[in-house]
Amino acid sequence: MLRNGLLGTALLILSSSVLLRAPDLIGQPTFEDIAERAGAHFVLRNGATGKKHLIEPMTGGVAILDYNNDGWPDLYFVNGATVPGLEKIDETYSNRLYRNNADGTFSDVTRQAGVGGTGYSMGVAVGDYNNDGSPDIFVAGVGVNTLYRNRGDGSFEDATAKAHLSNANSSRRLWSVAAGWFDYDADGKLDLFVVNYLTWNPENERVCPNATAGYRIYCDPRYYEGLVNSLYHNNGDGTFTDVSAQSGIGAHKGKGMSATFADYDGDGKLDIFVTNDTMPNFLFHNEGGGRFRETALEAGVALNDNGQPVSSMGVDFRDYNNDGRDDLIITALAGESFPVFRNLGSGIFKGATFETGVARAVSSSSGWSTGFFDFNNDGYKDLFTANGDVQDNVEVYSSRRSRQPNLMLMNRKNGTFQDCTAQAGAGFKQLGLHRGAAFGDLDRDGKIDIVVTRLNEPAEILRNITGTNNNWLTLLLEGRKSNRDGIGARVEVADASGLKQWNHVTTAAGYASSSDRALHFGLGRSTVARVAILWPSGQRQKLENVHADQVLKVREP
Amino acid sequence: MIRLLLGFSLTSCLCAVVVFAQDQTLAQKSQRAREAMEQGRFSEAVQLYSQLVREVPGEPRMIMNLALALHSAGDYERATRQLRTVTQMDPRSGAAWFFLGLDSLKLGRTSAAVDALVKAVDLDPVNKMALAELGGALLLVDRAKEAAEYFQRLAALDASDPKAWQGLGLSYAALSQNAFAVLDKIAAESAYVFELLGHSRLNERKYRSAFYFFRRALERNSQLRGVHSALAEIYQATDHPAWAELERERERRLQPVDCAAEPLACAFEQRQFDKIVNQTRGAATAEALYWQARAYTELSAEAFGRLAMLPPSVEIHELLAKAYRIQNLHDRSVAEWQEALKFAPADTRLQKELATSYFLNQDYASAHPLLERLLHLESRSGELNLLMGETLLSMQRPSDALKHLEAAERLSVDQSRAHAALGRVYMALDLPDKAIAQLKQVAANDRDGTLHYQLAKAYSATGKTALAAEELKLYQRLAASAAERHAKLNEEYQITAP
Repeated sequence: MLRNGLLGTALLILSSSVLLRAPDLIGQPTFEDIAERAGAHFVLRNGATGKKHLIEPMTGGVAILDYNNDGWPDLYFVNGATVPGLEKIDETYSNRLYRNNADGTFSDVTRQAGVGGTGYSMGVAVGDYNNDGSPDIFVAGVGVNTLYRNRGDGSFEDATAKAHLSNANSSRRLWSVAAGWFDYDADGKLDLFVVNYLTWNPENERVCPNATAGYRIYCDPRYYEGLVNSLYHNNGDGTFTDVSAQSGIGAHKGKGMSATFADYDGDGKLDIFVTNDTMPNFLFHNEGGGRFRETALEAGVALNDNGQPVSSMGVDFRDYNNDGRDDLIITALAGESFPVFRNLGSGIFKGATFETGVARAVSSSSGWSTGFFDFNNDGYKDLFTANGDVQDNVEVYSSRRSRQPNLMLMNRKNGTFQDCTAQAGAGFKQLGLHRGAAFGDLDRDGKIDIVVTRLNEPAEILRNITGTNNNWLTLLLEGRKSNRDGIGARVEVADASGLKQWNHVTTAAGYASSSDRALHFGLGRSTVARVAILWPSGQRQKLENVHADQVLKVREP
Repeated sequence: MIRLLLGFSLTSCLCAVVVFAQDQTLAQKSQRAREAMEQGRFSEAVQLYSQLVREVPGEPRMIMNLALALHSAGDYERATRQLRTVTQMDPRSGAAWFFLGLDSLKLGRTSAAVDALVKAVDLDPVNKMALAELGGALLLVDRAKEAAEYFQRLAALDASDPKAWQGLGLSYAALSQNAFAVLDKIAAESAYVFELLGHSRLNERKYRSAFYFFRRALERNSQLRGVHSALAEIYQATDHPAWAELERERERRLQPVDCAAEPLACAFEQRQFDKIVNQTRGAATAEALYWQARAYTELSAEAFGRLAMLPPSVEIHELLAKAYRIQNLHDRSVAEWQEALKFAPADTRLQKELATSYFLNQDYASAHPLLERLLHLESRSGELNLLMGETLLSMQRPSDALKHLEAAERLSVDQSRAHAALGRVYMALDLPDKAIAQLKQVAANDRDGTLHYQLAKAYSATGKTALAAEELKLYQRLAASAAERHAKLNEEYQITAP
């Protein structure tokens, strides 16, 4: 009996030590692709003609939003069009809205909702610009941008012209790739930032490298002239005013691919980060009074560590190392690495691409959308990148692969990441020309799922099936003085173990995509947490003894 | 080469066996040395022949054997010393002069190599290998005209020798470049110069640049023949067939060549390229130099055409590999080096070229194991260490890159590249002080500001904020001027309607 008891104790100690020594194996983020069985059969069509029109590899984004306010996140995909006509000639080119049926399936409600779109769509941004409690949709595209006002009855109205957001009638038919909602002047109304790429005309398409070599490729953006981005101020009456020039945004020509917002220097005002393709990135510091100052170079985030601009594409701006300061991850092309910038405070960043282990993990990947999210609820944000080469024929002239798998890098809780893609489940085995990706808890099981688009192939809905008992907390903020979505609210969560983590409300993350505005925190083994919210209005709110494993709606006092 | 080497070695050894037949021990040693050579145990052969040379001093054939063993073991420095001794003792030893030339080439002493190889060829005018090596050495010292003569002799001896046509093509290409260089000096802004530059860019498939130069050529001489055809080619390649047809029509409308007034153009049209070369020898006019350059280019193309007609060889694949590299088609260059290596799998020079092309093609996963194998053979090669260091850095492995880049720095290859790469490695390893020391050495070469940017980051990491700000300003200035240059070029290099 004694011997059996000793043996049992020994086994217990042994198993405990094995578990302690192998923390990396526990809570490994794991995903399965449920798109097929969920009935969301969306194929992103880029209208490729073989002539390698520059717009073809650039579409398209995806949004996770609860358009009908039933508490279940829905999906909105943007789509391409024919080239060079830039027309959605049939429904296969239509943008698509899928309603979450709350049972693991989705229904296509595009027609009823009236959001099929026009022209060649690129990106999407979701925000409740009129504070009516229903999320509205802005679609960025080639020469045509569209604002869909949510009527609150399951349908949308094209409010573009009414809102003065159309550039279709303007002499400048800009190619917009992405957009984002934020309240830069904290007046309680969401303003709109539109990311514009470059000057392109289908009638005068370049040929690269040449026809006689037997193949064409998509041209280098260096051959094209960049554009300035657009900032629209929300007038509060359903209209917007273009304040690009007076805000200082319009003074900087770039080749914008995506934008995200964060108060990187803690001065209480939201700043803007814009990725530029083959040009230095922009960090627009919010100076107050409706003015922005471009500070990327002095902050150390304009270029990679070698002083070279990379093909910056997707971006996320969140605190990965739980030090209370928002850090940057930028996706780029294979061989350029994906720059990571660690926020040192005082408006200064340090290149952390090598020290985080990201450099080595992504060396042969070309990344698009990306996001710092805590996929295994251990209290530390992990890193996802959607990958695929720009070229769909890169094998013809190089050793690279066009179709690539996505990457999942798990946060090792020490400032580094571990590539765990190989163990991330069937959802990460799929190759493709992945582009947009959005993040949100689609099945409300407390784990962040991912929706990823692929050029000319079915989109992936990566359901998070991570085997973990870690707890979580999701906060759904509702502003009163602040904008109703609570976008820009900064939230600190402290769990019972003393671990503190920070996040902020935004839908702008990744590439051309829009994620669920709900804020998600992994709590590890903690069952309660303390929450502190700094609303965009400046109001502070504290919540004690918040129970884990719930979606908590919090209203601004 | 190995077969030839063994041929020399065996002949000499047989002589040695006869000489020392009376001495059983020496004969056995000589036999063992010969076997070591045959079986590729060159270090052992060196030891044995060194002993034999000491034991039987003043015997040139034995010294020759030692030199061949040293050559085979890769010890070219000692080999040349022995070979010089042999040539002093026996000035009519064609083999000694030949190997002295080869080993001098290996040591980068090209002029000495030329002198030795000239003697080898004089002693044995039908030695095809000596002719080929001499031609190659002369090309290295910019004596292309003489090189062409030796390659012509080689072609006359054996028209099926790919080295002859490769060398001849390269010699003519060099002579064309020489003619252009003189032309550029005396008439830099002439239509002739722009036309030649246009063709050069067109051959490299740099269409926008070619277009720019052809247009400038037409601005100066709208009647210059071939320019409209070239523009048509560019339009066709860039998918503007209607514009291409228009340019072809313009070419057709040009006046036919008047042979009395334009003898060189006439000769060119009749493909009498040798005649043009002869008639323009020593000429100093822009027109003569233009036609001379074009004639040599055509002769070069003819020689390469002959090479292409021969069965596949190292030479044709090497030529194609280099051509693709110039055009930045590195995947194709890789394929050609791989084909070349099928004919000479052990050729480390070709392997180095393949590794370089892998690197340029950003195929670091393939470059890495090949460089590892090459470095195993030549661990003290600065060039290989540099390439390995840069490859590992590109693979995001700065810790592994460090030792190779430090070796490259020590071994005095491309110091600038080594310093710049070391700067990046030290920054990646969070050693900003060391990075500063490296970057400062190359900052003066910075054209686009990237090195000053890295220095700014390094100073910032060491808390030297004033220096960081200064470097950042330098970065901004250089980056702005680089952007301006690029924008200007971009503006100029547009393919527009005829």
